[in-house]
Amino acid sequence: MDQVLVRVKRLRKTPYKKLLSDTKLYQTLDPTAVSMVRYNPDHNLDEDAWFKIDKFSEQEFYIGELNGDLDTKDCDDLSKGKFRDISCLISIQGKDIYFQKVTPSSFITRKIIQFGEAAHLEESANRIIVKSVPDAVFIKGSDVLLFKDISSVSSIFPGIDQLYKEATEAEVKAFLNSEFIQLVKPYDHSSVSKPNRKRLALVNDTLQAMPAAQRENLVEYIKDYCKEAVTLTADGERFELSTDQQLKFVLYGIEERFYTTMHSQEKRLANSVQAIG
Amino acid sequence: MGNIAFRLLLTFNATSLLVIIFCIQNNFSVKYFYPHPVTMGMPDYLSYLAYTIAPVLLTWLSLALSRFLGKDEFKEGETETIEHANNSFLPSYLGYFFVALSISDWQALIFVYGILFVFTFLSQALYFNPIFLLFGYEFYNVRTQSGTTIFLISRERYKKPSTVIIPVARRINDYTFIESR
Repeated sequence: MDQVLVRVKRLRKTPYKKLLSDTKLYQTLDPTAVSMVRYNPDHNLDEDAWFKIDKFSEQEFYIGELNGDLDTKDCDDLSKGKFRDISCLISIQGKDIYFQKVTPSSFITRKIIQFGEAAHLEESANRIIVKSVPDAVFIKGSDVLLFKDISSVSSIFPGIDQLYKEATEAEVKAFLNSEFIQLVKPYDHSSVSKPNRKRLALVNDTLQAMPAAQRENLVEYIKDYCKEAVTLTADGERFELSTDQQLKFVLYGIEERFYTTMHSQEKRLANSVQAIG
Repeated sequence: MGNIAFRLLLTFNATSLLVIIFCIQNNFSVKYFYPHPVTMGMPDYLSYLAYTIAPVLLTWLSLALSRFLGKDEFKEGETETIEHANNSFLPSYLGYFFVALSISDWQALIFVYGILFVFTFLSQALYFNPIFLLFGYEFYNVRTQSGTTIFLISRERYKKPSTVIIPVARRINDYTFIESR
């Protein structure tokens, strides 16, 4: 039977309460009909796509209570007084579990005029908006967690934001000291923006693995694609970085985000990539 | 709100026996409350019969209303142990008899019944009402795999935990469930 549980704030011992039974909150998601992308903080998700995390039950941020069959008989009914403290809706639909984060803005506290036989004013209290698409779906059969936006699921699965890594101060400094970079004052490690720190965390791995020959070609490659966007030093061997925008292009270059289309020979930048094959 | 009203009804059904015994013991038949040429000629046993039938009808009403309660499910393999509990509440029920027999005036009845009612309502455990037995219901203590103990009211005769597979069980309170027909 489909059930809806909720997680309630500030209840350490029994945070899960039963809300509804025999009800589906969301349309059933068919995992074969949607496209799934392994989570990558720099990926811009298509509207119909979901980020996925494989082997969810082995992850640190897995919720132990999801083990086995969630037994609603173990959960007490939600009392009216606790309604405002709901932090998450958990809809058990078949074998899969759908999650929605509940924030203060999910509650409606507006006056509504309803017209039945005659119009009357309704003071709506204690109502939660159920979104048309859940924030996260746990496909139990294949042990996969699907979600769209990591910031909206980070309160549902505490610790999931570790996937969203930003380069540390030391990593940023080390990168900006690379042999192919020349900083122009006042731009320094403290002026690197959040999105660039995120990209930097990903680029670091690529850079470690990059063979020396390719590293030397890097300057040529980036220069080739964005003459205007980056400035080179007088000897033409290093990038002069004075803005965040320039750093972004260098980072894109290291990830080989620049390419030329095969037939029309157009130079392009991929701001989001997905490995295929 | 509806839930509280339902629980009040169950509490009343479970405790009403005290008042009935008190009325019978002290010869308070209908004519005592409602002196009328019709009731005056009525034999006392008819009044007592009416008193006894009232909670039976109310219990039937509460069973009918139980289909508006929230649903839960007992899946295969979820039940670890099951224990027949028809006998375990009889001693406390017999207690009502003795208390009722020793009350002699209305004031004492109101106080004793009030206290009993409040505690039955709050304890949430003494809802079980022997009148359920008349409707063919049995009482069970069920322990689920996760260790939760549940009080189950059902018309089925369960003996083995593996046979407890209930597609729809209604939740009377967080510890008490009744199997729907």
